Amino acid sequence: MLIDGHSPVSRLVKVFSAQPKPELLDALQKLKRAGFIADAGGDDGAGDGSIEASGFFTRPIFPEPKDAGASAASESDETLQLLRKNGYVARIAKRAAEARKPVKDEKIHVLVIEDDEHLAKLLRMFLVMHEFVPRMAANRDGITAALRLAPKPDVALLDVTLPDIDGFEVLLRMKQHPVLKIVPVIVMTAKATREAVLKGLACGADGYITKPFDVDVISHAVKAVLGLK
Amino acid sequence: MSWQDLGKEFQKLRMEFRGSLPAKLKRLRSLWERIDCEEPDADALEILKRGLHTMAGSGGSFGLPQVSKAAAAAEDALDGLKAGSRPGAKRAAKFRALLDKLEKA
Repeated sequence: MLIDGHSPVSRLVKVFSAQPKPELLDALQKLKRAGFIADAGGDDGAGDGSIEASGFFTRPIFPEPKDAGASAASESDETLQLLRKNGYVARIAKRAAEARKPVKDEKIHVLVIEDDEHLAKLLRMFLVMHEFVPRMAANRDGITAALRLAPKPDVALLDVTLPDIDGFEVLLRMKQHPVLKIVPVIVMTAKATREAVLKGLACGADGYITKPFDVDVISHAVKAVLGLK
Repeated sequence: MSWQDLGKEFQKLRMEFRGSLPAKLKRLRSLWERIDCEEPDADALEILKRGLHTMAGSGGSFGLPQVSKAAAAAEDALDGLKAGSRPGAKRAAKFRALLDKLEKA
């Protein structure tokens, strides 16, 4: 279920109540009861009328320009066009079913599949800072080699636009592999269309993060899929 | 490494990323020339799209959202262009203008 984050929950409940399919309303209310979604600012309507989501959210791909004036208006039109074309920024990470408490000195191995050398460096640096153990790969051979290394990675960050293999294919193969299928995979991509997000999730991705992103988002997503606090 | 060091390293990486942009842009222009010519190179389009896609994905992460935005718009402008076919004059002019915009970003 993809939810427009700009509508308050109460309004969605009203709209869903008018639908012939009661399961939609039921699903929405379950999400609310479970605390996955709430009106920003609480139930008293003090918020800005948008949804606060836990574990996932979407927002426009590019912020509208702050400066008023003709050029801003023209840029805004362009932004709207891109929005229509490209969809949204997605920050999705399925929370692990069970919380995980790392034992003393346990290292979390993170496989980073990213062919942009600068972004790969940034991710490596950031993961090391968070005391993860990064393992880097940039192409098909690198991925194969990295996945053969012991121990198997605890989680994989996967760029889907790679020079010699489609990242979605890598995802599918991992999810079909008897050993690797349990490794959570977080897709990182500039492919921001709804179709691409749904494809990633349908292929078994545990997270979907559209680029560009702040590196903090990565740490949050990795911890979420592993059940770490 | 402390968080302060991380901040410095990030700045260094950001400078490195920014420094790499002219060469990347030159490569993108060169790929475009292989497409917008009498005998368009079928492989060049895919490489060009990937280059723009990568730039669109990484710019904002290095604090350069305008690079991401310009690269995404340029990638978008290639939609519908078939590999091995020469772009029309209108598309070519638009794409060149977007590359110029990317250069200024």
